Amino acid sequence: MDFQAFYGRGLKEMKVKFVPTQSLTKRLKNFYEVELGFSKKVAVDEARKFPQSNLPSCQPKCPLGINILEFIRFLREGDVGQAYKKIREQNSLPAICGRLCQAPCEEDFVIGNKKVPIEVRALERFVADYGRPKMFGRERLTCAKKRVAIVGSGPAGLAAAAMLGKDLFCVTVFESLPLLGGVLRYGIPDFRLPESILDAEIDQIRDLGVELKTNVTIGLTPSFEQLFTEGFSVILIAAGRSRPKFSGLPGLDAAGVFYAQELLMALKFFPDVFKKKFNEKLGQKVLIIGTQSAALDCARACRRLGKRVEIVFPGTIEDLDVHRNELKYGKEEGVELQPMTKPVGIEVDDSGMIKGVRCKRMDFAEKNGEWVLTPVPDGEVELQADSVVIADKNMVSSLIKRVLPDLKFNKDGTVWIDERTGETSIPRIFAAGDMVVGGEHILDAMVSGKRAAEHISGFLKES
Amino acid sequence: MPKIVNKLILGKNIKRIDIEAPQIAANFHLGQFLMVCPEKGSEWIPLAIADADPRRNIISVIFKEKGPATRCLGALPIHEEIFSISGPFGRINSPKQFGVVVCVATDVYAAQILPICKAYSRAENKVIGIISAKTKTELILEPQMRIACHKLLLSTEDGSYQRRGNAFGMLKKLFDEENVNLVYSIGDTEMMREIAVMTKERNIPNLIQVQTMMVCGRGICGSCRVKVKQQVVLSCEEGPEFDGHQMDFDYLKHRMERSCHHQEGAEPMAGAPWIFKRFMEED
Ligand SMILES: Cc1cc2nc3c(=O)[nH]c(=O)nc-3n(C[C@H](O)[C@H](O)[C@H](O)COP(=O)(O)OP(=O)(O)OC[C@H]3O[C@@H](n4cnc5c(N)ncnc54)[C@H](O)[C@@H]3O)c2cc1C
Ligand SMILES: Cc1cc2nc3c(=O)[nH]c(=O)nc-3n(C[C@H](O)[C@H](O)[C@H](O)COP(=O)(O)OP(=O)(O)OC[C@H]3O[C@@H](n4cnc5c(N)ncnc54)[C@H](O)[C@@H]3O)c2cc1C
Ligand code: SF4
Ligand code: SF4
Ligand code: FES
Repeated sequence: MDFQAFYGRGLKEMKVKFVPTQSLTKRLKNFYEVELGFSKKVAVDEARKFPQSNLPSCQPKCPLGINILEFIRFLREGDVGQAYKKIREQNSLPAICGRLCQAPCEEDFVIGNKKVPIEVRALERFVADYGRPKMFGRERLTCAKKRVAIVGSGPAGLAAAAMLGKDLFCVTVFESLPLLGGVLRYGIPDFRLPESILDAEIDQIRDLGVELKTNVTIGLTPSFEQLFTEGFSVILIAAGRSRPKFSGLPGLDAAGVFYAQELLMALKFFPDVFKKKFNEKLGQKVLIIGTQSAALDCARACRRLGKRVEIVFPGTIEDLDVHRNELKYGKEEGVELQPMTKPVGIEVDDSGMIKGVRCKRMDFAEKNGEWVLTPVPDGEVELQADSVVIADKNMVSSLIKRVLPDLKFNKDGTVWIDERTGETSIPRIFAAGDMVVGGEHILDAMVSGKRAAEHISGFLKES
Repeated sequence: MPKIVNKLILGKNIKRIDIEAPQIAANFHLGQFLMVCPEKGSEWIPLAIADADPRRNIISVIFKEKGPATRCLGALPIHEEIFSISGPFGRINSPKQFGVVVCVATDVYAAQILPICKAYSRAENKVIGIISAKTKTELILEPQMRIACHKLLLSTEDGSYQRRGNAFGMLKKLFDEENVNLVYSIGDTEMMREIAVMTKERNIPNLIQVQTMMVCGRGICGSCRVKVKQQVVLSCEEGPEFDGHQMDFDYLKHRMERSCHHQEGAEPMAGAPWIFKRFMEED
């Protein structure tokens, strides 16, 4: 069958249906969520656009294994509850993925050779928000004797806990912060992920019978050995990569240099203090260095404080590691981008305050037959700034390195795991999340959490 | 949630509270600190564990009411619950036997030196304590320090109690009298710098504790960074105890100043009942 012809007329009509958002003037004055999500009518309409065939060229792939066509089928019939159940089979944090996922699945909607603009992420979000059972019968499942300790309650830890909880193991998650969620709690601002949504998602996991303990830093008290003597059979470390990397950029000693987490954490945990203290400390113009989501989040938070904001990064706009919607919102809000610009030093005046950042413009040049980014000769500029925020890649916490000296690391700073068994170089200790995949995506972290859970459950059933 | 079981006023704006926290009381090491968040949405305050009683499941912290967060903590009554306490954080260093150990602290930092004195006494050192403050009302913990140290020297800068002078002067005098094997100093950056320079000249080991601005207390935010041996490290994870001879005090001062600079503009107790504000203005 000629699908191109079949959908031909439909394809023309298929325009990107943008998710409704708060109006621009309003959202620059508050920290509430920007995206408002689809209404049921729009969501069902959107779902009806989907090609409902099992044709191989249009098999959207979700790394978590969500059966997208299946859940959309329920949605087009208006059965949000069933669609929710379908998603929950594979994804234990649908409302969060529906907001923050980088949505590689959307790339796969190709009919013939035409990309179909379909917002799977927004539909997933709609299903998660509306289909979540309002009253859950607590399914506290009886536990098997084997106990699993999970260190860290980020997306990786929670995904693994949900999997192992369903497998009837006795799971305890230890979190060092007073509140659960890892980066979701301390990093991603309220205007992208409201706290109430995160709380609701975590409640669902708690209802699987998973024990969640806050304010416990494994390694300090109790130590890893103590966990084993307390009766845990295996430990899964999903402690993320949160320690800022201190680079050798000249001028980093200056007052007025911040790391992204400092800002975002203050914003999440003490918003009133943040607005007051950082308003003064940041000055008028903030320059942000980085390509990750964290850079854009910082920029948008600063815009909400009324600062002028510029993001500087050496690559092209395509190198920005953010979802296209977020980039669009950021641009609308007035975040300026300086692509192809490499910071080479921070300029400080006599009183120790930041004057600006010296940058080198970059461009593509041919080198050994390949096009690589190289600095333009004489292309040096000084960008004026009152403060600088570093939103670079992070590294594994030094506490873990110190208390587990036998833990083997790869060259790129990720934790080494045995591909076959999932174990780290220390027996009965597994690892997952950002510390293993080294990426900066929730999806990758969750996939690795799920894989680690499979490994653990195999390991425990064998032993 | 952890509950306040006792509260004492030790001096001008200086309070001690005892908190029920069995996990921490059973597992802490002298010299570590806690992150205390008095209520939801308030800043987290790093506070040293001044004392603990594992049998009664109680830990004590001593603090000075400086800004909004500490004032909020100080205003909590007995039997009130604290939003969260996490910890203990900081690297564990077990004190060794040195011989004669001098522990120097100014003002409220006496709260941080007290557990250190205890730890070094337990490691069979002869501990000489030096505490100094601006005036008599700010000099705290004299009785507790007397028990923890073998000898205690006190001074006030205005001479209102005991000797007139500052901690540095007293330490200098002490060097002539005793053969000191280790100096442990906690205080403002300048005092610690002077002591580090002096001990380096005399080849005496010097340990210090830094009070950089902290947001998370567990190695996430990077706001507590200091420079040791030309390397940037996090004082909440690798510290707060460092070798005074290796510390880059210029950088430290920078980090401390940055945290101070917001203070001038900040109005005390915004949003508090007017009657509180009047009290604040009076003292
Ligand atoms: C600002 C920001 C925005 C982002 N936006 C996006 C986005 O839009 N889309 C996307 O896909 N990705 C995004 N990411 C990346 C994503 O958040 C991470 O990849 C993901 O959270 C990693 O999950 P994790 O479970 O491995 O670790 P984390 O989420 O870092 O969780 C680790 C947890 O372990 C705890 N922990 C650490 N050590 C211990 C210990 N010894 N004992 C007990 N607990 C411990 C930590 O406190 C933390 O809570 C963003 C990241 C940031 C910082
Ligand atoms: C490891 C460590 C142990 C400490 N132990 C004690 C103790 O036992 N007793 C005690 O009274 N104080 C202690 N402090 C200092 C105490 O944390 C600060 O006085 C307190 O955070 C002030 O908060 P605030 O909001 O009330 O004051 P603010 O108005 O915010 O500031 C007042 C002053 O306190 C300092 N300060 C503010 N916030 C912080 C912060 N988050 N971290 C560090 N300093 C800050 C600033 O230099 C500022 O000048 C310790 C600090 C550290 C780092
Ligand atoms: S989790 Fe991400 S990749 Fe998977 S279906 Fe949802 S949006 Fe697509
Ligand atoms: S002033 Fe009144 S209301 Fe406020 S804490 Fe004291 S007794 Fe309670
Ligand atoms: S206080 Fe956050 S890294 Fe040390």
